[in-house]
Amino acid sequence: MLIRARRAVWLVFAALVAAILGALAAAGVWLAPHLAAGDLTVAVSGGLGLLGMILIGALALTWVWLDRVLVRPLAAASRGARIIARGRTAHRIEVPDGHLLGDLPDALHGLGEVLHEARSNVERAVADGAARSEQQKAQLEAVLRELSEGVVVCERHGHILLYNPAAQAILGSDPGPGLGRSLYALIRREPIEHALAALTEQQAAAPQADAAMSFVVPGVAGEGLLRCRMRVLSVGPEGHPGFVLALADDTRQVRALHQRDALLRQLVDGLRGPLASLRAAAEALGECGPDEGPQRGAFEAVVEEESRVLSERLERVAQDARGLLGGGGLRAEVAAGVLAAAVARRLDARHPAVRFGLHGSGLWIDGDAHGLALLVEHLAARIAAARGVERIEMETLLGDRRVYLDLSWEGEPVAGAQLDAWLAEGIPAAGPGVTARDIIAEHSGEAWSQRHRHAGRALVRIPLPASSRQWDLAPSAALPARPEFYDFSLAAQWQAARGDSGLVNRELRALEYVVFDTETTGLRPSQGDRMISIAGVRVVNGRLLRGDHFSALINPGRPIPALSTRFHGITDAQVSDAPMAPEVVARFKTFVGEAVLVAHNAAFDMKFLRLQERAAGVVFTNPVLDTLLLSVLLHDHASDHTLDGIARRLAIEVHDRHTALGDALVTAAVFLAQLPLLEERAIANTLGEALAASEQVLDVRRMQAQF
Amino acid sequence: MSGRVLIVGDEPNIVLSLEFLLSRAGCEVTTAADGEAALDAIAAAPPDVVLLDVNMPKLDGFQVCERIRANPAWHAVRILILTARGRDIEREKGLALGADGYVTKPFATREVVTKVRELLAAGGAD
Repeated sequence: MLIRARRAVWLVFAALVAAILGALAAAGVWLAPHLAAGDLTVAVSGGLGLLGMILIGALALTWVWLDRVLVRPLAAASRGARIIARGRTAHRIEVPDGHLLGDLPDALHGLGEVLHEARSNVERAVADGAARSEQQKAQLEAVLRELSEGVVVCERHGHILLYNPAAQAILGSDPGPGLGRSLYALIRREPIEHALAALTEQQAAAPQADAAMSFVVPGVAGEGLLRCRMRVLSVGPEGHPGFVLALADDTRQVRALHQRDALLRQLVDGLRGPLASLRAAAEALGECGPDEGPQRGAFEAVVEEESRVLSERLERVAQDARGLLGGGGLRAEVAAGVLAAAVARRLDARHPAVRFGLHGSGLWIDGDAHGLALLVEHLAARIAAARGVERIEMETLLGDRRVYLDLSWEGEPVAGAQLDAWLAEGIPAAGPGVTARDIIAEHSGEAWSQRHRHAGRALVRIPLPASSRQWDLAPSAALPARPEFYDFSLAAQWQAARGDSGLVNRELRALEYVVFDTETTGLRPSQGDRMISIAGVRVVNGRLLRGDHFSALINPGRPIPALSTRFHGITDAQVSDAPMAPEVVARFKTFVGEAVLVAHNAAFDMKFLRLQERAAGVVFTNPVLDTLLLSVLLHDHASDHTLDGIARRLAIEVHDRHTALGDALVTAAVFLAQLPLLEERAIANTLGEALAASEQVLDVRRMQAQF
Repeated sequence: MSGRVLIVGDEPNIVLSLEFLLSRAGCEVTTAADGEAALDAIAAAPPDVVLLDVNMPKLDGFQVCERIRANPAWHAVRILILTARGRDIEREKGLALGADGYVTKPFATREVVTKVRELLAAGGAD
């Protein structure tokens, strides 16, 4: 096609030359008579003029033609190529007909398609990879969540980067572990740092060896004992030094062991005395002659008294021992529902004729899940065979510190002798020589058969220890959705923060914020209005931490006006047992730490907080950002800068307004939406810039207010 | 008080003492050393109250209790079980199987006598 173009161009220039020659010839022809007549000047000027005009005309035509067939198509092609490269791969390059580019446009279109396909492939691969990685992440999170051992990952200086629910259960929840918080606020620093130093040395000496160290620390607030196992590792994308700690609460076991020892000692020592007296008196009685009446009487009295003392001591030890017997390592919380399902599965496999199910909701049993499943399966199979029934129902009932596990069927009770015979049978799956009765004994249990409360039914009842999980209060009705419990990029932040010139130069999205809101009795702090509720939520690394929040009612020390109650719903009755402001403000300051404070119309809330600083013994030196001022910065044109208005403008869903926690959440959502806008519009990247910009808005508003 | 009491137990010392005390209190006392003998004795002449030790070889107290209750002819016989282990579930088991009362060893004999007296009175009201 290039050949065609070149030929065309050659032809055109040949035509041009021909035209020029033709023009020259024509000029010559025209000139000749004038030359012959001696009219040189006219001839020459006329000839030159004609020549010039023809030449200019020819050149102009040529330029127009070249422009149409070459220059403009080239420009179009180049523009088109750029558009295609930028992503509009379906763009069609517009070129006029008769262009000399040949199939360059088509080639470019072809490139565009190839580019599009390549991009789609990459996107798909990335999405697949991300989905797989997300799935793996979810699985690992699930594993971490379900571990009964507490796991905590910290960077080198003890700031928490990861913790699982088990760790939270061990370390408590007030204050409890939290992302970015210091581990040493919860447990003693020295043993951990000592182990860390030792492990780091070990690792430096032998980098290939797998180094771990076990030690024991006093529990939270000095109570109890925590068994720890530490390993050194690198955390975060850049591999900062850190460590992982596996925690187990040994307190209960240790305490139980101590109690057992004490009981044994009591038993052995406490009974010696009375027994000795008893024995001596009994022997003396034997020695007494028939006529030593009064002595006989005396010794008989001793015998009676010491026997009574022995009985009492025994009773007391038995009472104390009741709680401890059978507390073996195998026992754990067993949900009756899960147990029933396990039994049903086993029966399905081995005794398919028997149908087994749980009646009602199950209770929690403290026992050996596996052993109990085997026991129940064994009995269910025997009962079904002996009584000729197809369906056995399991039910759990709550007794005094016990859960009665009842296996019931339609028909008559089983004879005690028969039940005893079944219990004496061995259960091979439970271990060599283990009988059903052994499993029951392990649970300090019993078994018997009696009539059911419903006529025509009978049951076998097995009392088992109840698990305290029955009565555990539901976890605090906090915010739903799974709590974030790790963020490894925090490690990099801590690194940065240490070599830092100051908070003001930190980037907005890397800072830690506490977004808070207060409810008050009215709008005039200087005229006696007081806080009645305060709530705060934490934002770390651009994420709202759902599991980490503060919420408290405050006793304002004065009645709440009805108008105010209508607004936020808090009545005098609700705050009457709440603590007073100084206590709550002090606790709030602990929650906030050194984070940047954020609130809507922050000046209002901060005024109330500052009024309590002296009484609470704390000072809020934290920088403060105001979502209202930020909204003015971002959406100057708008007139509605109320929280609802901003939320609407930023398309944020609002639930539950006018409780401190609800408002704090909305403010946090608004703030998180504003941050990227601040960066995009280059209004503020760092904290310092945001503060300065906010100041400017305030100045402007102050000036406006003066008018 | 008067009434027929059968004491069943395999610890002779306890049986001896109880027999002595209950006779003194005015009861007509018979004894049996194990479960089978007890059932035979009841079949021969049903007592008003049976004092039943739980821990016996061969046929234990619970099974004897069960068998007594299984026989409608012995419906009026009151059963008092003597448990050696003070565990509440043994008490419950006994009561579930039809016993009328229980005493935990070691017990004060006065306690036993009182309970027997109560059971005899209750039996009479039937």
